[in-house]
Amino acid sequence: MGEGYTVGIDLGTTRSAVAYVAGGDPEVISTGNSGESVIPSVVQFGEDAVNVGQTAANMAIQHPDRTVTEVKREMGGEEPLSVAGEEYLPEQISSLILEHIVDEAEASIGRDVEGAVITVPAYFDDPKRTATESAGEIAGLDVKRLLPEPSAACLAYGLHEQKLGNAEAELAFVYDLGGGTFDATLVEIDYEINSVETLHTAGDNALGGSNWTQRVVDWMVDSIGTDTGVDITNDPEQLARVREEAKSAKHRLSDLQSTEVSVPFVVPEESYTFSDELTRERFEELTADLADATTDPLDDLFERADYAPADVDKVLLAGGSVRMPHIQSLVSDYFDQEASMEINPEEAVALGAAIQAEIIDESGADAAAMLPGETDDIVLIDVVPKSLGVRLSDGSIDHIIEQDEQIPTSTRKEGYGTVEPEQTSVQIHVYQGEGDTAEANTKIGRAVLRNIPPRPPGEPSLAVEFRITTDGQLEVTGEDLETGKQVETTVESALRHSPDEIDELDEQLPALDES
Amino acid sequence: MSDEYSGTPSADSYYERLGVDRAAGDDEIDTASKLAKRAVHPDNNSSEQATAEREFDRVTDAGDALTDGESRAAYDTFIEDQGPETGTELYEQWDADSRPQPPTEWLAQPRSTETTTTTDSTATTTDSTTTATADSTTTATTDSTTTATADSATTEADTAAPDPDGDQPGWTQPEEGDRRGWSGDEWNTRARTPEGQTDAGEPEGTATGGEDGTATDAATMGSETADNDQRTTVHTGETATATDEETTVPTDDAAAAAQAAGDTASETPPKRSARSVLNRDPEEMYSEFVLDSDPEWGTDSTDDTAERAKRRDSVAGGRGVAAAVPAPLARLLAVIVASPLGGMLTVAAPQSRLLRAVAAAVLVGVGVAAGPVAGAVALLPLVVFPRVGPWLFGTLAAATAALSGVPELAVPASGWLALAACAGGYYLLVRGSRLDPYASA
Repeated sequence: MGEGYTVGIDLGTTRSAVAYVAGGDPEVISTGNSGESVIPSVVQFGEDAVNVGQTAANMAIQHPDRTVTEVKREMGGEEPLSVAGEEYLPEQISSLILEHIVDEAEASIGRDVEGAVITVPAYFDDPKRTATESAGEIAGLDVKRLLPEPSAACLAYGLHEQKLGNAEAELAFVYDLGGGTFDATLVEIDYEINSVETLHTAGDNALGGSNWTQRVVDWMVDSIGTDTGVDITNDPEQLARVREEAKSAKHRLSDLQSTEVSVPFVVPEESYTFSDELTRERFEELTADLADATTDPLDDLFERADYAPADVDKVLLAGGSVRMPHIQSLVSDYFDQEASMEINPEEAVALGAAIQAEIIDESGADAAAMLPGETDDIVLIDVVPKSLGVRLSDGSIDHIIEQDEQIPTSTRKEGYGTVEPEQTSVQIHVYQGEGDTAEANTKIGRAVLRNIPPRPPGEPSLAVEFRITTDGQLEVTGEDLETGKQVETTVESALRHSPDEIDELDEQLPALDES
Repeated sequence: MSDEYSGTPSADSYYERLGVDRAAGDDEIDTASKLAKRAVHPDNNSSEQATAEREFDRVTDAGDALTDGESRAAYDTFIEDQGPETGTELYEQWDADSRPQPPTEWLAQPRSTETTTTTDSTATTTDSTTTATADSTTTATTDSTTTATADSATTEADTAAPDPDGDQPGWTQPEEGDRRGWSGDEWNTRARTPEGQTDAGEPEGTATGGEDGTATDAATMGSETADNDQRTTVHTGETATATDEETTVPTDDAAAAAQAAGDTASETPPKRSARSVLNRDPEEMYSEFVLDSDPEWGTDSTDDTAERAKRRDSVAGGRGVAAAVPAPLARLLAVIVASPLGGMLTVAAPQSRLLRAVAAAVLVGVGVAAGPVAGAVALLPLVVFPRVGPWLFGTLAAATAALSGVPELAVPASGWLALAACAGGYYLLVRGSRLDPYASA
């Protein structure tokens, strides 16, 4: 263990937060001059330096073309994003956010930050996780673990409960609706033996609060179009202003029944000011299908689980978007019980990540100090969000590791063969997902088994083992059953960068504004 | 209730892995399972990571089975019937097969229990596919290997056809007419296929030299029913170029060859020729259990790597310069690529621009200090460093021309230009190959 600190980072679609454990208590680091605990995940490429966070968010309206928001939605993509005349990979932009967060944390703690536990949506697939890990590496962090957000929320919640002396086992359900992603997770928490076990997870990687905002934007754009005949979607600057107002109206409606939505001079050439009343009822109508869409993953999850919604002891809400009242009532209806807001939905994830960082930390002294009893061990077990498998030569997928397996795990499967005689290498195309054909799933990469002795085609004499390590890394081993020869291989994909590539990606980035 | 984990992760019996009694109640097993997972979880263990992970996996298997009432009952049936060691193994096999039947029925089925129980490696042969369920019921009476393969064949004909030798997968015996598609020499350069298929009586045909033989393999891989014209081209041409020609011939067979030869050069998914030596579609025959693969071809001879590298060059060179490189040069290049030095060449230049500048400054110093001939000779090896040569000599030539006289540089601008030309030429040679530093990974 080095000198540096390991912090927990909630890298969100719209907002991020960072926390660390000091003297047995996890604590969210307040940042910036205003002492806010959340940092907008906005990156603004200025003329000579990059701004991140609130500063960037403030400048975003003036320079929509130089600003990147919601980069988390692009994670796992191989296509660079073009911004301010340059092209950057999503992980490079994410790394700028991380770098900023770490700078803020270092300023606040007064110590170097070396490593981090970064949270990801539980339903993130392998390419998205890999990209997130790369982002951390580009930012110069030692990424100790990628922690699913609902698990992090559970850790924070569990610790909080335990301090209150509630020593019982609970079946908890986490409904985590963030800015850009939705996760549903069923967790078993046993306070007596400090165990948090994830049982099942489901979700939607493209459903979040910003979809709700978009509905309000659409509504505003429509009525502006009706009033003036001008389509402002072609004007990025005005659209950014409309979006800003839509977002703030959405937030206001969490507390108010009705709010005035107005954007002055949104069509400057006609001196037109948009102003209208938006009621909560109307807002809920506009977004009803989005709210309903969150129950699909829930249904899917309980279909797989041995439990029914009625068995759930506690429903936890996490993520900023659960502040919307109709979401709260939807969840309460689904589970037929009041959903809990005991933990701060915006901070819980970062706090949980900080706790996990302490658990992983070899010294572990603080992990024990966090707990009231004499027990010193605490464990958090996560699951594989989607099945992993190989593509067979007819294009179908053969799953090797099934959905919801607890990690670390490994599965070995035999009976694979080659296609051609004299074949001395085999390419294993690795896919993730529940689709029937390989192409219906997400391609993770390929692993090549080299230097295997030739065999008659079609002879089922090869075995493949998939291993998911504690860090969530996938390792592939091939074995020739005839000779017992084992071939270790790594999964190659465009998203897995070598240390050199990480350095190169870092060098390409402009410097952060240090002021 | 004890709150210490007392099990043995390496034990065969699931009960021992969790450290509970066979008669333990559900609650006790629940707690034991959680305790066990907590105790062996790699986060809580200073022991070797891989070991801890394996132990955790074994404990989770046990926990998953025993905490579920139905699975536990099934597991009990298995170990009562077969004992903890075999019982556990069979239970896992049954579970991996998506539990086709109740355990008692499944156990009652005849299967080669000897192989299943004695060696680990053959124990789970029937695991080949998860979709095996339906088929395995119908062919359950055959030996397990056959079952696995028969499952995979998508046509009923394959399963119904008489099996020439019981242990071989259930494809049908090739007919004489089909095999004519092969010429003897090719047949013989390939690995021996199962007894039933090798025809000792096939004529030897035109035996080819080692290198040509490999090239033939490369060119005709996948082109099972390649017509004779095609093959003649392969045999007569220079090895490297022949392969290249092959790849550009727009026939199915050539396309298949290009596919296979271009393993690393092309990222496109394989579209293999539908025809095979058996006049059967191998995709159809093996689809269920054969890994989708782009084979890398070649024998285990020492030229193997060089051959392959060369082929790669030529494939890539189809759009570059390397295709025009005469064969002897290409061969020399291949040898360089294959040598240990080849690997070094690709990483020889520093990534950082600062380091490059420092290196250049040092080299200019050498040019100033050493005599013209000595200086040039000292720098000559750098010509072959594709990441260094092209930019270094060009810069030096420009610098010498610009700073003519101050200071007196030992090597004249024309000397640097000659070196730059060499380096450029070398770069064109390696372009598209593994040595190409600018090729995308």
